[in-house]
Amino acid sequence: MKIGGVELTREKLAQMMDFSSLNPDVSEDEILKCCEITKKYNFKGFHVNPIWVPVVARELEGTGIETGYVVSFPFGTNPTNLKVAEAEYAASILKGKPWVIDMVTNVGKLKSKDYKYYKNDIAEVAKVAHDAGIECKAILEVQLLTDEEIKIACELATEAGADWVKSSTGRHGGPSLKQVKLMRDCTPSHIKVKVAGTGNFWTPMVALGCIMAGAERIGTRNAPWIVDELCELFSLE
Amino acid sequence: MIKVRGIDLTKEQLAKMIDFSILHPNTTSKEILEGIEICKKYKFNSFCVNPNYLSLIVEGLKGTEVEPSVVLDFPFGTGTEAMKLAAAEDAVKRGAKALDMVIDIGALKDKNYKLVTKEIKNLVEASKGAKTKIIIEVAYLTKEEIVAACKCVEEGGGTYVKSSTGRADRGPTMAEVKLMRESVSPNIGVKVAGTGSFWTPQIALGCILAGADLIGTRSGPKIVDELPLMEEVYKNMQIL
Repeated sequence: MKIGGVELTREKLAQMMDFSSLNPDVSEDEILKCCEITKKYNFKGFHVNPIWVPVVARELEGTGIETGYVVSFPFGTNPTNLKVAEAEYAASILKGKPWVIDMVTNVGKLKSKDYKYYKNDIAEVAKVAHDAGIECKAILEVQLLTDEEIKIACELATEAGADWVKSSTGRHGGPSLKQVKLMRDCTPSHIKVKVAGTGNFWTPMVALGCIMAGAERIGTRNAPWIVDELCELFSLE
Repeated sequence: MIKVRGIDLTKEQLAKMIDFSILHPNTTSKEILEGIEICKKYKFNSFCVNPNYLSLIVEGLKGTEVEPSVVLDFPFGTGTEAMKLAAAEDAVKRGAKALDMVIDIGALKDKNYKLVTKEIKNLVEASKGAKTKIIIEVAYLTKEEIVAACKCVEEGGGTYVKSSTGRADRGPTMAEVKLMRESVSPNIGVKVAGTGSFWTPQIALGCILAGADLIGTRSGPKIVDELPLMEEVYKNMQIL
C-alpha cells in the first residue's frame, strides 16, 4: 500500500505512532508494561504524565525512542512562566536523551483574540525545546475551534516556531477528518501535523483517515491496535 | 472515485447501502416527517423507524424506492416468539418492506440454537416476502457466539444478519464485521449498525471494506455528504 508515493510498511507505520498513557490513574506497573510494548513495536515515542517521565526515559534508554513530555496538560491554562518552568525542568532531566515537548496552547486566549499572548506562550516553550536541541509540538484542541480559529492557531503556532501542530489532547474529544485536512492545508509543509483524540472505536480506520489527510503522527493509547489491524487489513510486512 | 470490494462508491451507490434510521424513544412525528424528506432527497435504501411511526412512513414514502422498515422487539429482543410474530404480522399488514428483529440473545448464550433458529424461521414466514434483518447484538457475544448466531440466521432463512441495535454499549469492531461476513454464505447480506457519530463516514467505509452490504444509521446524510472529502483524501491510496 502506498501513501503519497511512499510504500507503507509495518515499521514505517509504527514510526508514525506516539504511544501514550495519560490517564491520571495509571500505575507504575502499567507504565512499565507500556514501555515494553513501546520497545516491541518500536513506536516513535511514548508519552506519559510528567511524574512517570524519569521511569520511561530510563526504560527506553539506548532504544532511540522519544520520551514525550506534556506541558500544561491537559488544559494549557497555566501562565507562560509556569509552562517555561515545566519545559526547563524537562530539559534538565532529559538532557542528552531523545525526547520531545507536546505543549497545550492557551485556547481561551485564542478565543479572546489575544493573539500576541497566544503566540508568545508557544514561542517561549518552543525556545526552551530548541535550546535543548529538540522539537516542540503545539496542541491546538481543534475540536473546540471554528475553522477560522484553526487557521489562526496554525498560523500563530508556525510563527511562534513550533515544529508541529497537534490537533488535540484527547481529553475533550478529537478532530474531524475535515479539521485534520484543514490543519494540513493551512500550515506550511515544513510544519508537521500530529493527531490525537482518535477515540477507542474503529481507531485504526480513523487513524488511516488521519494519515491519508496528511497527518504524520498519531498520538494514542491504541497504537498497538492500529498497527496490528492496519497491517492485517493491507497485508503490510 | 473510491472503489471498495469491486464496488464503485458513487453517491448514489453509497446511499443505496444506507438504511437511514430514527429510533430514539422520544422521536416526534415532525422529526419522522423530516426524515421522510431526507430519505427522498438522498434516496437511501430504507427508512427504519419504531412501530408507532410505520404507517406514517409507508404513506410518506409511497411512490419512491425507499423501503419503509420497522424494528421488532427493539431494542432487547427479550419478548416471546408469539409477541415477535404478532408484531411482524401487524407490520407487514401495515406495509413494512423490511423487518429488523432482535434475536433472543439470552437463548443464544444458553446455546439454545433451536429456539433462536425457529424464531427466525417463523419470522421469515410471517414476513410474507418482506426482507428480514436479524439483529444479533455482537457487543454481548463472543466470537464463537457470533459464528453460532450467523449460522442460526442462515438456517432460519434471514435476508440479512445485522450486527447491532445501536442501543448496546458499543457497535461492532471491524474484526466482528469481517467475522460476520465470513460466517454467512454470500447470499445472506451483512448489515451493520451502531457506528456512532464520531468519524462515521470513515467507519462506514471500514464496514464496507470488511464486508458489510448495508449500514443502518441516523448519520446517513453525513456519510454521503462527506464522500467528496473522502475521495479527495483517498486519491493517493491504491488499495481501496
